Amino acid sequence: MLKITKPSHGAEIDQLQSELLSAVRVSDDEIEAAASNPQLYDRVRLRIAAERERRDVVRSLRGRGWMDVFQSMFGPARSTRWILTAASVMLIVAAGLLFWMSRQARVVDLQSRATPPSQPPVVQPTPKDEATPQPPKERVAPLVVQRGATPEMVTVSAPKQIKKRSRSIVPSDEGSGEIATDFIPLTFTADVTASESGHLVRVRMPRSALVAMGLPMNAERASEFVRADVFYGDDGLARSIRFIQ
Amino acid sequence: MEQWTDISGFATAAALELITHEAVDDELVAAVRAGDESAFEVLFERHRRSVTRLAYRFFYRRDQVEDIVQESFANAYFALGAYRGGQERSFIAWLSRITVRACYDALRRSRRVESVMSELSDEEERSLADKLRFSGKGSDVESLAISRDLADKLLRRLDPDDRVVLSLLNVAELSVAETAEITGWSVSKVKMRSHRARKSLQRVLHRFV
Repeated sequence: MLKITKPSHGAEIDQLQSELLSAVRVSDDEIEAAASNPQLYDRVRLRIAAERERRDVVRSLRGRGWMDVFQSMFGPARSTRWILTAASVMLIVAAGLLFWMSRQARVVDLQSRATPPSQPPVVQPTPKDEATPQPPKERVAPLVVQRGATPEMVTVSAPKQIKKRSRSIVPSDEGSGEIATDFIPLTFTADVTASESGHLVRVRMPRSALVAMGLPMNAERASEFVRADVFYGDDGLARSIRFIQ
Repeated sequence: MEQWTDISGFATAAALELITHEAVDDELVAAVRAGDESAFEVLFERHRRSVTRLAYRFFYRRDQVEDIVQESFANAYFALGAYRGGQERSFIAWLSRITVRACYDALRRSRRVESVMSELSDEEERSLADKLRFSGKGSDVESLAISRDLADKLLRRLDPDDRVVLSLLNVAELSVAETAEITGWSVSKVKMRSHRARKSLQRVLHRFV
């Protein structure tokens, strides 16, 4: 049945196809009318001009690439090249100098911060202290005080903080091998940093005394002694204390 | 002269041109290369009918055809440096390839842009079916214009490659070898494309049967 219907079906489609394609054919008159348009060549010239202009723009843009920069640098204008080179070198040197100076300033600032601003004048240790037999070495937890702070602002005894600020521990006497903490202000009225003169006395004190200063103390070792430098002002009042290890 | 511009006699025209006008065309091309703009106008006058006729195989609207003619000659102008001439290929064959390429590009562009707008409505489909069945019986201008428009909408559903092959083989009635020459495809590719194009067109037309 398919064999019967398909040829007629296909023939109809072929007929439609040929008629469809012939429908889009145009007559010679139409072709001649379009081809003999007097403005056609003018339009072609306009299109050529537009395309030429576009290509010129593209060419000029391409021409200003790296090759032109290279030629201007190493071409006939050599004075320009040297000026640019010298300016570049000077710029690099200036930048390096600025960086080095800022780095130096930062180092000086850090060093000045590490040194106590009002280091009490060191007095000779008393003969009694020298004669005193040294107790067995103890590990003294470094104590940290904010510099220039009033006594109310003293922060002590947080073990974590102590460990963190242990870097501020500095040798108390050069060559003695001692390590001292920063001075901890003891007075509630005077600013320790404002003191100009006074006396420094090295003492041995029981650990239990640390509690009076708000410092942490191990109760099991309360009977042990620790060494400390106490700074007395001219008025005879103890202003600050530092612990020695 | 008419024999020259008849694209259906493309091979004959090309052969004749080799004998009579080859030197002239090549000389004109050389003159244009040397900067003589008037020589290009002579080339345009000589070949514009051929180009127009070829463009009409792909498009039926006059504005589209004129646009193709302008684009073809402008492209040819800037490609004159690549024209070899001589015995290998005549100027008209070279120009025809440029024209077909311009038509192909225009078909691709129009297919992208008008893919939605070129859809046929139900009424248009009925009208097209009637006109295809009774073609030739009403040969007035309006009927012809409507038939062309509907046929063009139908052909736009084809792939541009299929459209090019159908236009050259069935509308311009070129041979397979001529189509291969003008498109730059191989003969086997033209045959394969022709088969596919017919199948595609049959599928499109199947709904009208």
